[in-house]
Amino acid sequence: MQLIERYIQAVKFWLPEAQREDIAAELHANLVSQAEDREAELGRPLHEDEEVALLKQLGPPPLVAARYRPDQGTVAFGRQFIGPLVFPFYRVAVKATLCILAAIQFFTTIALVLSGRKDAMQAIIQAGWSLLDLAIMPLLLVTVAFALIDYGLQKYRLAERWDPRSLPMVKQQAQDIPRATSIAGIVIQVIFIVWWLGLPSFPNVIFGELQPAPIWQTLYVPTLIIAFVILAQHVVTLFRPRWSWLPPFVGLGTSIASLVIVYPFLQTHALVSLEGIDQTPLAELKLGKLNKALYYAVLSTWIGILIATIAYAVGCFRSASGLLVGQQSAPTKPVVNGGPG
Amino acid sequence: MDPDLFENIRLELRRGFLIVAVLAQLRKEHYGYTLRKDLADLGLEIDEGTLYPLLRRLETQELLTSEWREENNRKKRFYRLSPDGRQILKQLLTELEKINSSLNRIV
Repeated sequence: MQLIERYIQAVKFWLPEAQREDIAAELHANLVSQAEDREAELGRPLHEDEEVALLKQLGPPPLVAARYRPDQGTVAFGRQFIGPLVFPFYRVAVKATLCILAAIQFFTTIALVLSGRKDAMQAIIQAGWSLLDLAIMPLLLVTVAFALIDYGLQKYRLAERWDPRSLPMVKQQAQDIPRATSIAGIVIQVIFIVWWLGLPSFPNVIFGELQPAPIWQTLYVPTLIIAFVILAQHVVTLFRPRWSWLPPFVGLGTSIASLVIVYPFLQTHALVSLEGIDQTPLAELKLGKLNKALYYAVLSTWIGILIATIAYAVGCFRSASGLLVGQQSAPTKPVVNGGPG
Repeated sequence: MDPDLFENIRLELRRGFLIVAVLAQLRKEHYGYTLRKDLADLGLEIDEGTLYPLLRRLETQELLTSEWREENNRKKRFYRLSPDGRQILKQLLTELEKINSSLNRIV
C-alpha cells in the first residue's frame, strides 16, 4: 500500500493547514479500509494496477484537497470561467501576485527614499498609485491563465489522465532550512545593504581615482532592491524553515533580474575613464588593459549568474513538481494508522 | 443538445438527495468508508471525493458529530447525526415527501 502513503502525502500539501493532519488521517483510514476490503474479497494483496485504480477513482491530489477547502468560490461573467475546483489555487495565485507586486513597490520605495532620489511622502503616494496601475495586467493574466486551466481540465478531462505511479516517494523527514543558514543570510545581507547605502558618501571606495562610466549608476537602485528581496527571503525562512521551496524561487527571480541589470555592461567597453587625471599615452594604455580586464570580469560575472539562474531554475522545477504532488511539504512521517488523539 | 447537459442536471438533482441520504444513514454511526459502502449497497453510489468532504461540511454545520476511535487496530473517524441534524433531517424528509407527491401529480 505504498501508493496510498504517497497519495496521502500529495493530498496533504494542498489541504487547509488547520485541518491538514486530521483530514489526511481520515482519508488514509478510509482508503486503507477500502483496500483491505478489496484484498479480503480477492483473497490476496492488491496488485499495483488495482491500487492505481482505487486512487484514480478518488482523483488527483490537488483536486481532492480542493473539495475540502472552505473557499470554494467561482469566477463567472455570464458563464463560469473558473470553477470551484480551480478557484482555491486561483485565489492563492492572486494573493501571491499582489504580495510580489506590493513587495517590489515597497522595496523600490525604500531604495528611492534611502538613496535620496525622492522624499518619503512623494514616494509613498507614487507607490500606492503605481501598485494599482501595475496590478491590473498581472491579475488579468493570472485570471486568463486559470480560466484556461479550468477549460483544459474539463475539455480534455485531464483530471482523469493522471497516474498515481508518478507520485513521489514518501519523505520520512522534511528538509527544513537550518535557522543558522537564515540568520547567516540576514547578517550578510544587512552588512551588504549598509555598505551599499554608504557607497554614495564614499565614491572612491571602489574605483579609487578612476572615473566610472555613467552606466554604473544604473546598478545602484536595482542592486539595493535585490538585496532587500534576499533579506526578506532569509527573514521569512527563519520563521518558516519548512518553506524550502522559497530560496530557489527567490534565487531564480533575483538572478534573472541580475542578468538583465548586468547585460548592458557587456555592451559597454569603456567602464572606467581617466577624466580629469593623468591622461598620458602610457596611462591610456594601462586604462585600455584595465577596461579589458573589467569587461572580462563583468562577462565572467554574467556567465556565473547565468549558471546560477539555470541551477535555480532546476531547483524551482524540482520544488514545483514537489509542490504539485506534495513532496516539498511532505509530512515529517507518513500517516499510518493515524488519527489525532 | 449539449451532451453534458443531462449530466449537469442529474448532478444538480442528486446533490440535495445525497445530503438527505447521508443524514438518514448516519442515524446509525459510521465512518467514511462503511457509510459509502452501505449507501452503495442500498443503491446510492457516491464517489469518495464527494462523500468525505461532504461529511466534513455537514459536521461544520453541526448536523453531524464525530469522534476518532480505534477499530480493528486502526483509528477511524466515526460520524453520527447530531440533535440539530435529526431535526433538520425530519424537516427535509417532510419536504421531500411533499415534493414527491406533487411530482407524482404533475408527471
